[in-house]
Amino acid sequence: MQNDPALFREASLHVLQDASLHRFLKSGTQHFSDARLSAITKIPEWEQLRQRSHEIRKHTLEHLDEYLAELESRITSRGGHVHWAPNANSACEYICQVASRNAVQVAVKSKSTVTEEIGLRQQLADRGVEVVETDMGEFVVQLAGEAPFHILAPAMHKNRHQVAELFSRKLGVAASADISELNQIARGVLRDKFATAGMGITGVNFAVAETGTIVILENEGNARLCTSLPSVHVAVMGIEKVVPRLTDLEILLRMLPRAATGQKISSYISFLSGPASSDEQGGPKEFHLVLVDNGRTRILADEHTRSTLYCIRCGACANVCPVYSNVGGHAYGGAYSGPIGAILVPQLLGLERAPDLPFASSLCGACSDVCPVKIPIPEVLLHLRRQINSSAEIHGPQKKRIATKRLLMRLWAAVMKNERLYGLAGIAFGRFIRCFVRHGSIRTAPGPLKEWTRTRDFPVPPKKPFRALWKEVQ
Amino acid sequence: MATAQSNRATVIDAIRSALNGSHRNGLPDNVTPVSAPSTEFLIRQFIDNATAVGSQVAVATTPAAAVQLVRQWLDEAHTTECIYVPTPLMEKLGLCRAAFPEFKPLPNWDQDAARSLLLNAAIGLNESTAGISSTGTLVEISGSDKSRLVSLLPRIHVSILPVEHIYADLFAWLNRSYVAAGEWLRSSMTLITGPSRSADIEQTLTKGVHGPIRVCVLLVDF
Repeated sequence: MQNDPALFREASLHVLQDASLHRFLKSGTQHFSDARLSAITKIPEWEQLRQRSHEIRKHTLEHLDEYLAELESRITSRGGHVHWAPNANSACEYICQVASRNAVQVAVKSKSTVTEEIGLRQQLADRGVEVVETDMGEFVVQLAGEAPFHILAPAMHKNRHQVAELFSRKLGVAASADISELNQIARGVLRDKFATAGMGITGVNFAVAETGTIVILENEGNARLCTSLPSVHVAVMGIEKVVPRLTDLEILLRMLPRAATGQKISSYISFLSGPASSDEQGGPKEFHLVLVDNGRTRILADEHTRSTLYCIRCGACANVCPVYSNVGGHAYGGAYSGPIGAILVPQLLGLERAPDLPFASSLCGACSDVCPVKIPIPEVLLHLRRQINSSAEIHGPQKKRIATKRLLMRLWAAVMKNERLYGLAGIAFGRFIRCFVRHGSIRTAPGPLKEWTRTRDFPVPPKKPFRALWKEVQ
Repeated sequence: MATAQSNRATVIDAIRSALNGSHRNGLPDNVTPVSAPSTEFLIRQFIDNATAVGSQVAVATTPAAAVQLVRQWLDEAHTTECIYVPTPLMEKLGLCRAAFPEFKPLPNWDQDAARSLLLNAAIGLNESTAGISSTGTLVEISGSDKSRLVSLLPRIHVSILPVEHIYADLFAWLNRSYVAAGEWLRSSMTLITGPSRSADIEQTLTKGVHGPIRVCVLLVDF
């Protein structure tokens, strides 16, 4: 487990070399992928909706300052507070001050990737605030001291026995590997925390500018608890999550649950407009919305990559990505993983801190096919690759790789353009690679194939190439 | 630390300079037709979709039937405590403490003694503001003397819903409620579709994780 995107290459081996973890990841992503496909097949107008959603996101970003100002004005007129955070530190500092002013000892938190991005939990912990993750998967990875593995299923990499062992060790309960029982144990522990927490922290799926409403989708009910029991609610959102009007929101609400888990609608959707009114029983007396920039305005400025900000965090791209479904979320070393992570993390952190991520792709385009808001991810990846390759700041090994790749591409082009060369190259390569057959398979090969064969076998070429067989048949 | 004003200015200026020179397009309206099928169709569709997500739905065509159905659900739960939020409709149906000794009024969350009742009550009973038939969804809006906790903390949520408040889809509901102005823009609106669920451990579905394990909807049709 690591949190440095520059270590992607090494980290990606972890899942590949662990057969059972690899199986879990493959079946988990396949499951989400199938559910998504089944749900959208039932909607003949899906492609039109994708286009509409794309237009809504594009328009919103082109008017981002206006909509954020409208959102703020609506929220403050209802007694809520809005904090504009240029960077992670500013966001965390503000939230810590809210906690301190309210003498908060325990905060309950529902799933929010932006809070991972800004490192909120650690900052609060440093100031003596216990932050408890309440989403079942997040609760498990928090106990294990790990980062979330997948945006929708943070504990996808843990089987029931591992969870039972974890609960027994960390919670001091005798937990059996029964999934129902494990959920009930977590429910009981978290109930206590919900009841006594002084602050609830959530993310935001969408924020409607027209009405000053934040919208949270979930299936478990923990976000509802975080926003109903504690007397202070802090919602954290990236500035790009704003939506102009309720009617635009309605379109996006048709997209997100289907693209994410294949549901028509999630079990709960909360529309929260400011703090609870004085005549209401319960509900937060204080509401804070933290708007996080943290590099997003830099992405906004580049029209080639602005579409990165269209993302509605559904996870569909990760589920169909051949890279993600083989290496998992931890390898990316950042809050965001999969195809969206490959374009977002380098842009948020700086290209030189995550130079491998835009190259972690075969450019198959499956991600842009499934993206509900039609982000052209392969185009953005290529743009980032060009920027990295021409950047003066890239380090030694990367420069060598670029030079090698250029040479190999030139050689390959020359061979492919010449029929005779192609034939000769085929025979020569076949003879060469067959030298490495051991017990009927090629487990390791030298040179550029060494990396390839670290985690897979190379196919054994036949003694006679197809071209020779074809000649014989003629 | 920078002041609130300067933080705001920093972010807004960064956005404006990022957008400098960008073409700003307009945004077309959502032209989904406002669906208004017959009540019979809406009831049928609501029952189908609510059942598909695991809710239990029953239709009462008389007050006596309503009382009997709620009695049945309470008996099945073997409970002596049901938190309830009275409404004029519920009084009219006879769903009151006189007929149901288990009914306990909503306690004030701020009082410690009351927390235990809310946290441990087996059933929460309230009236939903509306229903959405395309997904089998209940709509709850916060208001005076109501609480978001009644349909959230107890294991079983019983909702009373008059059939004339069922809308075809979310767009129709938003169109009706927001265009009609005011009422729903309370501090909270919650859409509830079925029981609480999670599939975080081994992708295996479990119900009643944080929210209710069971949702019972009484459709009032008379």
